Amino acid sequence: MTSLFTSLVIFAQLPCPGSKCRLNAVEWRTRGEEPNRVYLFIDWRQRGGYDAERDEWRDFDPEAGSWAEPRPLLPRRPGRAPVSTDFGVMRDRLAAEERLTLNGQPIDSTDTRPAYPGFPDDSQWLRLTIIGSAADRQTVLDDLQSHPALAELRGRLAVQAYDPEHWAVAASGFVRTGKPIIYVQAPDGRVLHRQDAYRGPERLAAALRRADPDYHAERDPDLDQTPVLSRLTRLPAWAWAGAAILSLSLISRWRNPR
Amino acid sequence: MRILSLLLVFLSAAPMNRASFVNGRAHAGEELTSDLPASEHLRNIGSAVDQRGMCVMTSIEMAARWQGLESMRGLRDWCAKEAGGAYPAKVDRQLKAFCASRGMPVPAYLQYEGRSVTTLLELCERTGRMACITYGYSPRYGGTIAHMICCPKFGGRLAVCLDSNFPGESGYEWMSRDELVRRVTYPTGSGWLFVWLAPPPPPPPHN
Repeated sequence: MTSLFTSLVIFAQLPCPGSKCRLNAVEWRTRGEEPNRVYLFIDWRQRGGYDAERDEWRDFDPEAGSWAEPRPLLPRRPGRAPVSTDFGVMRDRLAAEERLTLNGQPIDSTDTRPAYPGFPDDSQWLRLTIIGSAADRQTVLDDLQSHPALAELRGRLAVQAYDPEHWAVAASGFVRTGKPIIYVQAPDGRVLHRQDAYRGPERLAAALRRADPDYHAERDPDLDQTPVLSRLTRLPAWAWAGAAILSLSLISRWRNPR
Repeated sequence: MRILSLLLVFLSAAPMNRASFVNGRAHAGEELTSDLPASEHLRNIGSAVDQRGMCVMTSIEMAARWQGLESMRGLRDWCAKEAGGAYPAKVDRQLKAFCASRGMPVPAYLQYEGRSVTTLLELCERTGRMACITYGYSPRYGGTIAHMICCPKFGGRLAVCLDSNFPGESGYEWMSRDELVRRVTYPTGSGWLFVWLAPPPPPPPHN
């Protein structure tokens, strides 16, 4: 390495013969996946590599395609004490190919991204938080999991349940004295609904519907009506009035053409 | 001379290319997304069997605490009764065994191995989940490491590492998002992510 480095220094200081320098003869290349390493190419042939963090230079023999033993390039650089480098990841057991699993079961990641299975983008879902004793919390959780009245809402709620002393609710301004307290919040934290006791799944479902800003009663489908009539009956009064005026105007022009 | 100058400039500038710094829970107007209280941070330990590091289960238990999976408390210490070190299949096995020992189902989780870590990190950030990610380099260690840490922020301009070797509110390591991605996939070009699918804690209430 020392000889190669000295050669580089001498080479770098030589005057250009005939003022024609081959500026591309020496090149340092980097790789995106190795941010702390550079590789030296002379005349487009690899001659060595340097690991800046470890201060390790290794000569590369392009004829043999082999690396020499690493040596420090800057041995007097303020050093860091050697540290253990393995904190518990067994890199040699990681998959060589891309791999996605859900609870240990492989998933074909090429077919599913960016929507990861089981991992919906729930950032805009309502936050439903239950705060109370374990038994009170479990009653609500069980209904949320299985009661038909709440089935429609299940896929739009991010649900959490906490003991009143849990850090997530103890110092954040939540009321914690209900049996149980149930909060419904917008994703930004705005409280849309709060009840201090659980009064059953039907009443919770009704409250959730009223709290859901994306719920509009006028959009409820009425499958008992024909589609056209159904839409016409939903038109507001001003639309009917406008249509009547327009119709009268057209009839008047038709009867009295200029 | 010009080449020598370039060489010296490169050698002196190389460490700055991977700038990161240690700070608290906020920096330059950006805050942690997953602000796990310091009282819930865990320090990495060695396995009782072979003293090998337990960074994987330490990180996974911290993420579980963030996402309200109280039943997973004690996971790291339970796993430390076996040999240390971990990889995805071992995590699957140990989670199943731990939950079976407590008579409860395994909470939903996702594991990813590969090069395209950014999309999943962005989804975690958007939904407020704390990803556990491999970490191959940090100037704190001075070289390549085999480590797993928690990612409490991957949004705005900055990303943050919660390292179980440096727990506490003043020990967060901040860097650019690109720099964090480089460290996740360093040195092999491939990274490993673990994510609990339980939702994060609710935001503070307001009118």
